[in-house]
Amino acid sequence: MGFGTALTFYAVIGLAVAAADYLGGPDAAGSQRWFRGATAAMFWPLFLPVLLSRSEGDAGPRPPAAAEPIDGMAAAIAQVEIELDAALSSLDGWAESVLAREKDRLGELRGALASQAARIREMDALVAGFDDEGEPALALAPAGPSNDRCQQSEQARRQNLARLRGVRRRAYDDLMGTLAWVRELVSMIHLAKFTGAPASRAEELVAQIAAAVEGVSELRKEASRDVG
Amino acid sequence: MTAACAKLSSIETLEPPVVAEALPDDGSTVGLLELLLKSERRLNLLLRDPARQREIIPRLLAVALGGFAIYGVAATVVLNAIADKTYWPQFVPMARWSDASAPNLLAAYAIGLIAANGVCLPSFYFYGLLAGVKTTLLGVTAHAMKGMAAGALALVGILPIYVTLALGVVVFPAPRELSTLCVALGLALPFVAGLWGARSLYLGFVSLADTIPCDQRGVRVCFLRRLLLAWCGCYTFVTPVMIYALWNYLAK
Repeated sequence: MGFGTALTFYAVIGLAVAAADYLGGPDAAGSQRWFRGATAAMFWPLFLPVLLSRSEGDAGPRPPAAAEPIDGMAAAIAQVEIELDAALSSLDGWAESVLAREKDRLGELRGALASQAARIREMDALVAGFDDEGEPALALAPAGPSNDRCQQSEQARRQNLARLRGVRRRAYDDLMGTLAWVRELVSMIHLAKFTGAPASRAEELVAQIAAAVEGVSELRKEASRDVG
Repeated sequence: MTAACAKLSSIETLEPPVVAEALPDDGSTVGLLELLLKSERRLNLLLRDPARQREIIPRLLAVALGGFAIYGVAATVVLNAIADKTYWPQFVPMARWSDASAPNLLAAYAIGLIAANGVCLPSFYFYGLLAGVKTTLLGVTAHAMKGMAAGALALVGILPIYVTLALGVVVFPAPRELSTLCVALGLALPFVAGLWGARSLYLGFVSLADTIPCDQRGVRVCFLRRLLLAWCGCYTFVTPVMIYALWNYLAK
């Protein structure tokens, strides 16, 4: 394959990449789009990662997330998220390196709080379902050894329900404790910024907020150990 | 009075909070130029966001192309001013401003420098993965473009110094050897300015070392630095070959 043939292949691929970039690229002024198209055709190896990452990021319309019920927990989480966003946005220009580093963990924290709240709602629904069943029909159980077995199973069932209520109460208390801790750290960030604390202090506080996600994960492990 | 003075002296002296100078981040190419010149650290932070990477890569390419184009025009003018109808530096392909070969130097350098970056890009990506850096090909491309744009800016910065020297060689009678040396210096100028680009690329990529797991970071950062230097060496070898091959092809 000569240089001319290689150049022809290069040009054809370049035109294809330029067309894809033109069709899927961001809206821009005419001259900018033409410049982008020309450079994409000439230097398509540099534009290929841009095209491929764009196709990964825009993988069709996502199904709308199931609407979360608006209850006290959701309201508390929303309030803490608003306060956290305000504190983190105030770090711009002061301790922005830690924001870039902890971005993923902060995102995980939000997800962990929401999933913890969803777990608590599931437990609430379960407990409410068991409470609605009313007393078991022990009266219809035949007398004799089978009745004793029924009573034992029923007793174990009530104990499990009581443990489930305990787990639910603990999970709720821990969630509220985590939210309060995050709020406290947020207030410390604001205080640190306006009292001339060094940027390392803000970095330490943001790292502690991000580390709260491990605390939430640890609580779930403890809960599963208790049940086991 | 004494009590008031004592009270004043006990007040803690508060330092004003450190507020970073507000730098333009309006997404324009001029804003990007300012970040390249004034706050590369902030640009490195912006380049961690994939959405910003997709937006910034074409702008960095435009900055690099603009810088190399300016250099190409200046180098062609200087080369033709030094050479004359009877003398053309040996081993330098044609780029006479009086005929169709006028844009050869500009095209060879502008395309060659950027194409060499594209050729070396996959190896740069693999070197990053080898070192354990958590990055994507898009991120690697963004950092490579940033290094190239920084080099182009440095090239535009040192170009006036070179043009002044070359004017001295043109105006005052100089021996042929000095003229050839001046031409050689001009053709090597992008590689001198490229050292600044390599520094920018090195600093930007090493800043990604915090994505390496803590327990392995110490050893892997040393390995990362050596890999980056190896990649810069590879790019330095590929680029002149690419430029010379293109220039010869265009001069035919």
